[in-house]
Amino acid sequence: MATDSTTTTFIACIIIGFLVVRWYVSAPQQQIPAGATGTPQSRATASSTGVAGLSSLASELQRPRSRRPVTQGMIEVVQSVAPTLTVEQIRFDLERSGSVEATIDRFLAEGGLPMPPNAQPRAQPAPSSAAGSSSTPATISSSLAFPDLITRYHLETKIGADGLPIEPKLAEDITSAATSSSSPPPPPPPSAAASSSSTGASGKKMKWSGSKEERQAMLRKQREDMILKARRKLEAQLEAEKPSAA
Amino acid sequence: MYKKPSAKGGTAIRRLMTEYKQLINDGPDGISAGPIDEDNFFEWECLIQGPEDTPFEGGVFPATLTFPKDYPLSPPTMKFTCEMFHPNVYKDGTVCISILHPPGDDPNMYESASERWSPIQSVEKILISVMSMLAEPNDESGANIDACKVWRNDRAEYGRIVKANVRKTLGL
Repeated sequence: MATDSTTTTFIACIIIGFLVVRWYVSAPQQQIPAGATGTPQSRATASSTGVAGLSSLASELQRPRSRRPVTQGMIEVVQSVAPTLTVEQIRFDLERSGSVEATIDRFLAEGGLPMPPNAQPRAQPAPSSAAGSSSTPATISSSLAFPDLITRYHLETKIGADGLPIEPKLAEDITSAATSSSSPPPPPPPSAAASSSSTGASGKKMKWSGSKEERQAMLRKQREDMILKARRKLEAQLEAEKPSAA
Repeated sequence: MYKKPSAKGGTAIRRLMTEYKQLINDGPDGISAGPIDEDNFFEWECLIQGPEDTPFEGGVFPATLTFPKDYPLSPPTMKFTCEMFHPNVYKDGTVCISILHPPGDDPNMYESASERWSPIQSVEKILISVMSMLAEPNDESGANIDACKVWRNDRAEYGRIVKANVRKTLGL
């Protein structure tokens, strides 16, 4: 009889142990109510009473449970390797993989990362790296369009006598049209335009000025001088090369 | 709690102002840099002259520098706003150079910590580094694979593409 009772105790222990383990596996740890730390019976009742509350909690907790925490630092690391990707793409894949290395490996292997399902379709920057790397170099140089510096800084009028054959009046029209249409380069303050046209390419060294307007005018003049000087030099160089080429 | 970010931004602005002043008074040759609009000190525009004895010679290249709010702690990002065919410049113009990378862990393990960003670096040092990067690409850390290939295999073609971009940027 003694052996019989130990056997039943043993089997009971196994069954109870199995139930406990099963219960732990099915219910995540953070959802255990504070009072549910007694015997299996009391836990069972606690979990059954908590079910209604837990099911509502579960829907909220589903996101963080199935995805992993992603820090801003992780996103920045991936972005430094893959600047063509959007933050949403990186976050989405990091939530899936949970590791910077895995995400970067995937990016390198596939040449891009999938867009998150709820993201708005934008101008997709990711495929360009994949598609671009397989295309020939000749096509790349024309892939991005930037305005040249003369247009950007409205220097058409200042190209000078040996520059493009644009009449000053016409060029002014172009300049005013350009300034009204494009906002990024702010229109020059009148003082800057006047001073930069009076002095030549010299006067590189500037002095710090207390007034904000003066500083901006000086910076602008420095830039214009730099561009115009480079352009004149290149123009002369091209002119010199022409006869030999023809 | 409300004051912290503005205090941080204040530090960054003070630092940027000092650097701006230094660049205006005693900037290196071939470099011009300053805020696009002084109302926003975190966006700078700079012009870099192409270094001599390289295909970039004679060119002037515009770029924007975007500073983070905790600036001297984190590096700015730099982006060329002209066509740039260079092994270490991404196709969208973003410059990939060790001085612009924050310290801390380096996923690619090819940069030593001393080359990377730290608060003792400055805009001037960044721009000088970028100038020397134009002269000597680092093909270990390629950003533009095509440029890397052309630079490695066909130096003449590389020079031709770069020179075409130089002319285009200056409107010729």
